[in-house]
Amino acid sequence: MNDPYKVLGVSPDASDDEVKKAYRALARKYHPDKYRDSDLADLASEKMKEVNAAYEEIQKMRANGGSSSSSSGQGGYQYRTSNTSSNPTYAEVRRLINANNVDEAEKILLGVVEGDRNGEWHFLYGCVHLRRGHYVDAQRCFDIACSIEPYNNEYRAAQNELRRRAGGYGNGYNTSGGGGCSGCDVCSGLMCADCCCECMGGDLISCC
Amino acid sequence: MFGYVRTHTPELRVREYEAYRATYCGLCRAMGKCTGQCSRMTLNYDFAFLALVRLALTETPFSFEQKRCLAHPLKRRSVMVYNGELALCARASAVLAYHKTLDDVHDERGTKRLVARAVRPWLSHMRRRALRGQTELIETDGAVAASLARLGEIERDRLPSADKPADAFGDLLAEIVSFGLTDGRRRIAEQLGRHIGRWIYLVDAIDDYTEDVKRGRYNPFALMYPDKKDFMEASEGLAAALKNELMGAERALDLLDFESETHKNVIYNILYLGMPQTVERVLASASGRGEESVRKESDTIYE
Repeated sequence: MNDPYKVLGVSPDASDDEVKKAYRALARKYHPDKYRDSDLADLASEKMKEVNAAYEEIQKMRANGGSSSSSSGQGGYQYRTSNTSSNPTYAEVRRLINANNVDEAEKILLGVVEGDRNGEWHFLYGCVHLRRGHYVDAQRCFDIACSIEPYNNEYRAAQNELRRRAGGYGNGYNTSGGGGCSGCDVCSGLMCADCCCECMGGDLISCC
Repeated sequence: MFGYVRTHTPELRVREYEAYRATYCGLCRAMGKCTGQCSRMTLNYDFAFLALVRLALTETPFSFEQKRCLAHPLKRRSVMVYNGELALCARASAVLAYHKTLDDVHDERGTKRLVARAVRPWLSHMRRRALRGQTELIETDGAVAASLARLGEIERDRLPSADKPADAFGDLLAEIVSFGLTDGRRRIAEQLGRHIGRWIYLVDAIDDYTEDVKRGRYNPFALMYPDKKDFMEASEGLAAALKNELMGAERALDLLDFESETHKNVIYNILYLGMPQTVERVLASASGRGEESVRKESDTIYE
């Protein structure tokens, strides 16, 4: 199945309200009433099903974690750590990450012996990096998590989202297609993201 | 009949405006490449819209480059890089231009007919070039000819109905938008083309109303409302009918997935703002409040 966030056209760290809003807008767009006397009704209902499934999927993902973000600023990446874990240690780490207690989470993670570090470990460590705004390390961890467990949707979604995000900075402004994302772009992008988060009451880069 | 499907430029972002212009330029270049330099003169804005829609329908990836051209030698402009879909649109545009001229030779009078006669040979050459080796377009060629023949028949019979000729034109555009596509995509494209085509025909008929009444040319509204006062009274209903066509087009467009937000925004700008604005202007000009004719208004993009 497609990434449910992509179907709804929202970012994974969108608040519940934002997700709901996006869902409602799409539901209106594909509403059977709108297509009642159209020949395209069947195609619209397919789209509608897709949107409904995506919304349910997100609801499920968020409900399972027991915590849902209500403000967009602090909602960052919570969904990724909101699934319950079969391993009690990792469940605790997830809880800590959700509670924004990154240091404690990292301590527990580093306590796991080298040989026991599985895909979930790398994924969670990636989440820790992400919380700190360490994008490169986060990306590496997600990559490792994905290579260990290539069919895990959670890890895959995290990896894709981070890539998409990094690529998103240049694209909108560089219509000629030349040049890439320079170091300067990355920094200014991060500064912007941080400012935005701060406006909304959260923080992306805690040191500034 | 063309020139009504436009962007509402003030509401476009600069990058959206550039993308639109680049599509127009890219299509122009593709026409030069596929159907000869002369054919570039037959390009119109409606086709830039159709090209944008077809790029979305076929999910053709596209990119832009900076280039100079003869019409604008001083500044390098953003131009869509030549791709297969642009080429197909250019060819379809040549086919349509030829049949439209042929139709003018049969149905028009006076200078318009003379001009149509004069340009017919090279348009015919253009069409032959466009069809060369394009099997899917040959069918389109036939369908376009059939639709225009149907339209001509309706005009000769002086049918006092706007929907019949609008349907014929809708079928024509449905073919232009949907050729080469299959299944769901084809159905979406057909619906979209049909509604846009019907809309264009109706807007054109309203725009030409005053002129056609004066010259006694065929115009469904002139036959339905010989008195201008009746026509004005009906204009509210006409506006609603036109809105319905746009909603039909919207329903079709809504089922498409757009790769880029810019691409999507340009198309929806045309649908939500540009086309309703045309309706408003056409209705205003028909009632004598606005300019003579919407199409004669100066070119806002290539000044």
